Parts: sequence; C-alpha cells; structure tokens
Amino acid sequence: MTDKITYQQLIDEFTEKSGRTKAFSDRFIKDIFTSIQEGLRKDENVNIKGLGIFKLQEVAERETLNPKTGRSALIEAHKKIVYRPEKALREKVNAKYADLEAKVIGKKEDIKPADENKSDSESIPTFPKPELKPEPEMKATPVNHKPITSSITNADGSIDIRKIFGGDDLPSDDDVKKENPAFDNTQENDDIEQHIQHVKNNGPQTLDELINITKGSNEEKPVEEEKPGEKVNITFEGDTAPQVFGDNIDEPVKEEEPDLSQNLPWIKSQEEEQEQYQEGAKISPTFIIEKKQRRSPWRWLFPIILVILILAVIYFVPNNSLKIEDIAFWKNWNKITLFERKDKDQQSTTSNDLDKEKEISATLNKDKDKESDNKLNNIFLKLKERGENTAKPKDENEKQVTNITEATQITQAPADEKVLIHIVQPGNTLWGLSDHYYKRSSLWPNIYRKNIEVLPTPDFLPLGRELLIPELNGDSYELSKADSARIAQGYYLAYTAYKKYDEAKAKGYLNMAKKFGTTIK
Amino acid sequence: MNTADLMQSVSEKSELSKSDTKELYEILTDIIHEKFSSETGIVIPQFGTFRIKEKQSRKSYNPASKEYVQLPKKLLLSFTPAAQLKEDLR
Repeated sequence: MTDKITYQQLIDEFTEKSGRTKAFSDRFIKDIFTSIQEGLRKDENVNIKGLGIFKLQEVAERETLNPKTGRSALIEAHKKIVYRPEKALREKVNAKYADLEAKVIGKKEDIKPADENKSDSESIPTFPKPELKPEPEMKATPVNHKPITSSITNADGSIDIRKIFGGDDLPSDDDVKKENPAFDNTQENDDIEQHIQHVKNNGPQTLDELINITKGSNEEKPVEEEKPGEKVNITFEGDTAPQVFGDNIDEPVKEEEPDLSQNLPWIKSQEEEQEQYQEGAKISPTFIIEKKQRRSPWRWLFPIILVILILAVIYFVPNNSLKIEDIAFWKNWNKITLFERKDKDQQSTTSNDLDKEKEISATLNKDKDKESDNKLNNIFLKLKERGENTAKPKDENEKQVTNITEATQITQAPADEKVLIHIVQPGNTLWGLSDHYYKRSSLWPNIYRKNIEVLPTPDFLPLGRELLIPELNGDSYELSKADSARIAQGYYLAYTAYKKYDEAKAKGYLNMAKKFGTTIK
Repeated sequence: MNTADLMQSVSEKSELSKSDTKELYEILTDIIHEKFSSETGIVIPQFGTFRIKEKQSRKSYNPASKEYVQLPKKLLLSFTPAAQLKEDLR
C-alpha cells in the first residue's frame, strides 16, 4: 500500500497517547530504534515482542553487469537486514483478506495433461515431414560379355576354346588351314624339304644376292600393313630409291621372293649381321641368340675386376693399419651374433645352465685345438718372463702397457705379472685360449681383463691381434688371492660389456664375479 | 537481543525506569499495530520504512498431496532499511 505516515505524525500520536512532551517522545522513539540497531550490530539478531525479528543475513560476493555501460562490477560480500514480523502482527496486517482460504483446484493427473496438450499443440508448430524422394534406381547397363556356361564342350566331349572366349570371332581350324597352308601339319615337312631344294638350286648363291633379297623382303613388309585408301610416304636410306606406296600407283610391285634368311644359315656372316643391325631391320630369333652368346663373357668382366680389386686391397693392406673393429659392418656382425646367443640363452631355463653350456663349448673348442695343436705350437710364441728380458725395446713397451692396465684396472694386483703374447688365429676364442694356457676355460676373463683396451667384446677376437696372456701365480684349480681377484675383476668387466645386449648373461657374469671375489675373503 | 535487553538499553539511554519504558513501548507498539492493520506504513528516519504490500493470488503446487492450490491474495508487512542503517551494518 502506498499510504504511510511520517515520523512527525507518529510522534504526535505518541505524545497524545502517552501524555509526554513531543521532545521526550521523539527522543524515546529514536532511543528504541537506535538500541535495535546496536543490538543488530552486537548480536546480529533482534527478537522483540510487538515487532518481530530483525536479522542480519550474509550475502556472498557476486558479479553484476551494469546494463547501461555493460561493465561488470564486483559486489563484495556483505550483510543485509531481514525483517520478519511476528505472527500476531502478520495476522493483524492481513486482517482484510483473512477470510480468504486456499482453494484446491485439482490434482495433478486431472489438470496437467490437458494443459500440456494444449500448450504443446499451440506452442510447437508441426512442420510437414519432408517426403523422401526415392532415389533413381541404377539401371543395369547391358554388358556384352557372354556368360560362361557349362556348355563349353563339344558334342564329342572335348573342350571348345571358342565357346569359352566368345569364339565366334575366332576362325575355325578349317579356315586357318585354308588361309595359311603352313598350319597344315601333314604337308609341312614335305614343303620344307621342297623349299630347301628349291633354294639350293635357284636361290642366291653369293652374299650380295642374299643381302639384296633380305632388304627387299624387309622393305615389302609395310605394304601388307597399310590399309587401303591411305597414302604413306616412306623413305629408305641406302641404295634403293624412295618409293611411294598406295592405291593410285600402277607401278608393279617387285616380285616377291621368299624370305630365305632363316633357311640359309650356312651363308650368314658377321658383316651381314652388322648391316642388319645398322639398318634397324627385324631380327630373326637366331640372330638374337647369337648376339646374346657373343655378349656373355663381357658382362662378367667388370664385376670380376671389382672383386679382384677388393681382394687385392684387403690382402695387401698391412694388418696394423686396418683395424677391423673400426669397420661398421663388423660391429653389426657382432650384434647379430649376440642376438643369436640370446636365443640360445632363452632356451636354457636357468642361469646356472649357462656355466654348463660354457664348459661344453670349452670342451668342443678343446677338441678343435687338439687337431690344430701342432700348428698352434709353432704360432704361439712363449716369449719371456718379464724380469729376464729387459734388453729388447719391444719388451719394454709391452711392460709399460701392462703396467698401465694394471694400474688402472686392478689396484690389488701385484705389479709383476708374467705375460705371454698370443697372435689371434682363425677359430680362436677366449674360452679356447684360457683352456689352452690355463687348462681351465672358466678363467677366460683373466685374458679379457688384460686386453680390454684391444677387444671390443669378449665374443670377437680380431685376427692377427696380439693378445697379452697373463700367467697365473698358482695352480689354475687352486687360485691364489691375487689371481682370483683379477678373475673377479675380469668377470665384472664382462658383465659391463654384456649389460647392454644380454641382461641374463651379464647377470650370470656378475654372479661369477661375486663367486671369485668371495674366495678371496 | 530480546525484549528484556531492549528495555534495559532504552531505559539506560532515556534515563527512565524499566517499568516506564515498558509501558511507553507498549503504547508505541499499539500505535504501530493500529497503523499497520489500517494498511498504513511508517517511516522512521535513519532506520527504515515499514510498508504494507499486497501480494496477488497465485497458483501453487503441493507435491505431498499432489494438489494444485489457488492461494488467495495477501497483505504483507515489509521493511526496507534506510541507506544509513544498511551502510552501518554492512
């Protein structure tokens, strides 16, 4: 309602009813509302009899859009005052409409469907469904190929090819024989003999005559190919004058002489062939065969020379300058062999079997070595013990090398170590060498450790490489502490070398290293 | 804050006894109620405006009984705080 009294009117009324002064009533009413304000600030909740509840409600921050400027503004979180009058006051206010009561219009089932139907039918316009035009049917284009039926056989049961391939176009056998009597097999042999006799008696007896005949035969071929009604000018190089062929020419064509080139092999010579090649004439099959045969030795010349050159390079280049492990395909080859070995390892179930395998392979190597033992004895040069040979400068170099390797790799090992030199021969392996020198193949890491700077992998020994083979201080089956330490070191080096390629094998070597290492303590 | 607290604070401010303040307060509420029941609002400076609004009749749905009810129109007392009060209690 728009009616409202001012504060002044309220004071007047109050003064009138209370019998106090205006100033007092003004002050009293102001005191009441200021104390309500203080109460709100203090407790955020004022519940007074006669008015109702004043409350402070928290409002979260939000963004607004200014409709005029279109800018967004942030309204910070704040508190707003909510007033709810007490029940008696509410009833007093609503006294005018207190008699009115809520009327039940109806239940959901009664009303809603009717309303919805109405609204739906009115609000949603129904579009006419687009009628799908039937697509034009693909007309079957008639295909001319004749269907392959079961009736491909003749009356006598033999398969008729003409029926399979649409044989109306093909000439029958009788027609073929009529057109080309050469196809008649019965007369063929007789004809050939007669022909040969005829040629021997009447044909060309000299080379020049034959050349002329063959030229003529080659020149006359285009006449057959040309269709009637077309004029074609054909020029020929050589002795014969240019001629014009066609319908309008009344000049008689040269008499056809039989092509005797195939039937006179005894007249042919190299000159004739060359002339035929130069003129670009058609070559009979016999010529082609002879040409191939003549070429064949020259075809293999260049590859053979290449192979000889490569072999010569490999043979004459000194071994020292050609490091085999530096060539790329050697490295690849190493990897391939490693993969093959991997497969073998996968077949063996446990890592313990590895050692057995090694021993078996060692025994195999042993047999091989026995066969070539005499040769090896000549090649293996047991040079010296270190202390004895000091005079030779070569030995001094070796000493230095061994010293370096000792110092870098094994700190525990004693400085003086007896060394043999072995030149790698085909078929040598570290297993075999250790079996040969130590009589125990499982000590191969001792050799590998000594030559680790020279050997890329323990699997591959470069041919002709000089390997230093350290001698053991004690017996090969009762190792001294220093030797077992070195072998453990060697196994560890093998572990590091195999780690990239074959983890199972590398772990096996690591276990071996531990085994030899523990025997020290 | 309840009525007793309000009487306490008002009596302290206006230097009146509690009984007097209560008496005067009842007179004031009687006047206010009378005004409200006669559909007139009251403006109180620096506090706010009490105004009576008429709420139109409306249709509502009672989901419990699944009934549609036509609610009658109503008179409501609304209070809009003054800007000063709003700002003070913000």
